[in-house]
Amino acid sequence: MTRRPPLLEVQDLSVRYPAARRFPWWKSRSNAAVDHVSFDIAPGETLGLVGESGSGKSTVGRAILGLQRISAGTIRCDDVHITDAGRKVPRSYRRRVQAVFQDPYGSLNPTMIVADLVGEPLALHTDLPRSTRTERVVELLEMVGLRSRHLSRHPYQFSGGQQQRIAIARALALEPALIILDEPVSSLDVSIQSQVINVLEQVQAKTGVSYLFIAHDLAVVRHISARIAVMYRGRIVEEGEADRVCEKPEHPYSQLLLSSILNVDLRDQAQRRAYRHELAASFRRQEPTVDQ
Amino acid sequence: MTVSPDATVPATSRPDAGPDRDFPGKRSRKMLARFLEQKSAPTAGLFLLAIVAVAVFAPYLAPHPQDAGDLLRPSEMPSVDHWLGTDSLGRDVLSRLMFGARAALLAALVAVSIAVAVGLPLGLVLGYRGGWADRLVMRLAEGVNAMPFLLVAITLIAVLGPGLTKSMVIVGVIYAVMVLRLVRGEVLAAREELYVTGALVVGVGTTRLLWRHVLPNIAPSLIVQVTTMFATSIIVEATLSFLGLGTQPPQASWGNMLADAQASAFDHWFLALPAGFAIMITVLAFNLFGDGLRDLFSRESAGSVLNANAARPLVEGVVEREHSAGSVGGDGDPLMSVRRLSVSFPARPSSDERIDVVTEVSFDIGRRRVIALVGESGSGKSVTAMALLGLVPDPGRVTAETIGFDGRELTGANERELRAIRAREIGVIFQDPLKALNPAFTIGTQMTESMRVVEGMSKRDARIRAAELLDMVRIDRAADRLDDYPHQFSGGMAQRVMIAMALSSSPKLLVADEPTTALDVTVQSDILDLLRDLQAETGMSMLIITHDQGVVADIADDLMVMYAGELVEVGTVEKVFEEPRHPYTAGLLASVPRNRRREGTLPSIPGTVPALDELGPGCRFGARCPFVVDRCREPVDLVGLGDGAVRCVRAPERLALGDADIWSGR
Repeated sequence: MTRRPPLLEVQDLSVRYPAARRFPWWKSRSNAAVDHVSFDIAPGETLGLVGESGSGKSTVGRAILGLQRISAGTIRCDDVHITDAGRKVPRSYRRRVQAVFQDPYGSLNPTMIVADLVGEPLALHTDLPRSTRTERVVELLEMVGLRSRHLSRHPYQFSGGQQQRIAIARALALEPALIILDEPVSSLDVSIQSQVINVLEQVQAKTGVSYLFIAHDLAVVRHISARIAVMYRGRIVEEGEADRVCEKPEHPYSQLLLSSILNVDLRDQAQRRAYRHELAASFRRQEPTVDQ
Repeated sequence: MTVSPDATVPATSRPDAGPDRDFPGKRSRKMLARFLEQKSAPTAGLFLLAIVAVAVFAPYLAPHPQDAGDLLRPSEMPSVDHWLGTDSLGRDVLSRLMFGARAALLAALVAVSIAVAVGLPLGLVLGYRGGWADRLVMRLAEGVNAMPFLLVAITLIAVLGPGLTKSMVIVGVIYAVMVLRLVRGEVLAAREELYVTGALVVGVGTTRLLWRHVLPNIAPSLIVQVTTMFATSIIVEATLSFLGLGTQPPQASWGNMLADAQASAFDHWFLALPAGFAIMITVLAFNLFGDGLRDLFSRESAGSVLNANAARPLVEGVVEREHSAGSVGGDGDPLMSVRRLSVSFPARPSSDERIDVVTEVSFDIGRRRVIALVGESGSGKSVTAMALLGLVPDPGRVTAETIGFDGRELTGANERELRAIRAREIGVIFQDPLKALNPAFTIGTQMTESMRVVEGMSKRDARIRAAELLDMVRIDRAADRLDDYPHQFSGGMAQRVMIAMALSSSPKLLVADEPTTALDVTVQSDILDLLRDLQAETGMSMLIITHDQGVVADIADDLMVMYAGELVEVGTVEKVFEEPRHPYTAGLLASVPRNRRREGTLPSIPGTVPALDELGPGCRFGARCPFVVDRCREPVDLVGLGDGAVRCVRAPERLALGDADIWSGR
């Protein structure tokens, strides 16, 4: 498969936090949350980024959104670079890169109504007249499976799945090239999870937006991603075609992660458990500090 | 007054608001309606409105001028001519009271306006920006706050000279520091909110972020604070005027009226009453009004159901009735047997109308069996477990025909008996282990505490036993780790500690409420392995509450599926997973993401869980069910089928429920 020139390019990205010093005269050191991470995403493509909590996957997403100081490396989307730590992200970049977060209720301002929530990016970045803006908001709501009668409601009047749809509509408002999806379905019920993933896929088919899908659930990530990168302790330990990574993982951590997925097929689950025990034993020998 | 019907949505069912729910009223109108439902606050509001009207129209309303009196008729008792009598200079008290309201409100208005005008913007900016300016101002503010503010005001007035406006400006500046601190604190908290991050991502600038996003969310606490400031301002004005530092005679003020009355308190006691009552009632009205506003805004935080520790005796159900319990697995003598367990909560605070969050649930937990209770959020699965333990918090009411546990009846048991059973025979573990452990004490202290209290063990024996338990849950160097604090444990290790604590009394039943949901997938599998091994070793029964079918497949023998407060399917995991008989179970299983090559859309159940207060008499899953027929509109019973049970009228038809096309074809 030939890939188009990448939309997003992340090179040698590192994010370090200063480590606690016991005495002020001690030499200052730092812990790397993200350690020399590189990847790229083509237009219209979805890259899945999986890892456990603390692996640095969300920090990567925050860095791309300009919410996180970068210690080293470069991030480029289209022709805009964010390199230096602490610099303000240009407005043109904000138009191109949007986000949907894990907690849909928390990420929507509870005092605003849907029309304002979805319309706000348009009001900020475009000079569309009010009526055209409302039309566009309705269009966006319909794209995510909501209706115009939802316009004047507050976020608390919706269920979790619907709130996440509103968040997606808000992220889509400026027709971004890339949306960072940080655990967008982890807090939703299983039956709603698949609804939201279907919406994300329909939107991508219609608009050609790229996704960085950050999650801990390999089965969900596999469904929506063309490629998957596995993060472990701040580094990408494996990257490849989604099917390849999920069927023949090479790095021991990917193997352990994969074998930990619980299966609803009972016989398969019993076999998988035995396999996982072998893997876990050998993995712990290599990484003696795991889970202390 | 029109009360919109949506004002009555109970807190417990709000997250489940369905897609076709209509919310006609605007939020503000509903807020007003809810405010008017309160008892004292609207009365206080009306009273304040009247005071304001009197103050504004005092020159027209007052029967006499405030500063001219008949010196020949001093200190008279009330009469037709002077309704509240006259003061020592023969001036009409009622008129002076009216003009005094003017002074009081004006003073409060000046002080509070300055406080808000200075404190609010400063607090917003400092809270959001932080940095050296914030540190400098906050040190200053702390300095001001450390001084008794009435004394500061008096000192400043001594320097600047007396006068109402001048003194209230000084009070206003001191109040501004209070507002500043309040706003800054709220902004610091709001800055961490996800919606602020979201606004940044969308490209919202600082000014808009503060005014449009942060301010409306901190407004409630600010408004409440401002009302109480009005109340204290009135007291401050009265105090200063009483001391001769505020309103200057002959201008009337409640404070200098009191001073006047004090001079002749023994001869003319009545003089002190009008001004005294005016101050008291006005301040009271402001405070009641403020309380009303606070209750109005704090509605959002109501409705936490599960963080319970207060228990009430279980109320026995009255009617005996034939029923088909989902008794599965085990022999004929179950460890726990539950019949027609219901849990209800008030539809809204202080209302007699109640809503069932769990409706007539019946099941058995077999000995040595692991039974899973599955359902989505809001299905009532956790409340069911809490009800079994007698842990449903106060407004909740539990009724059951019987809850039998190992040959004893738990309905009607009092809190002490329940606590004894919980301590010795039923162990519990929760979702978030690190929250369940007290960060201030070592693991060893927390583990040995219950052993020493409940079992009366010596300190040394308890420590040995605790080390054994940690060893049992496979924590390395168990004896050493007893001296570690919770923060030194990872989530998975902390859950092991919780399991060790739950097992310390060798319980017959372990209730695990989403024990692995907060953990990483690799750790989740380890904890499930541990639970499985421990169950096999000890022979205890387990009730595991989860939303994850994968967890069910991994660990459970039996399965109960709950939907909107009812059991819809019961059976062995093997049978139910092989051939689900209820459409909901089938849809749930179909929508579990599997590690498979992608093909088309993911199967899903359309729609959302219905709100519990708008359920019809028929099948509760009907609105989302692809197999719905007319018969589904009537009540559906849980009917035994094979060795399980199912609540679906079409179950005997053996429909092809699991067909992936049905769940993805819409």
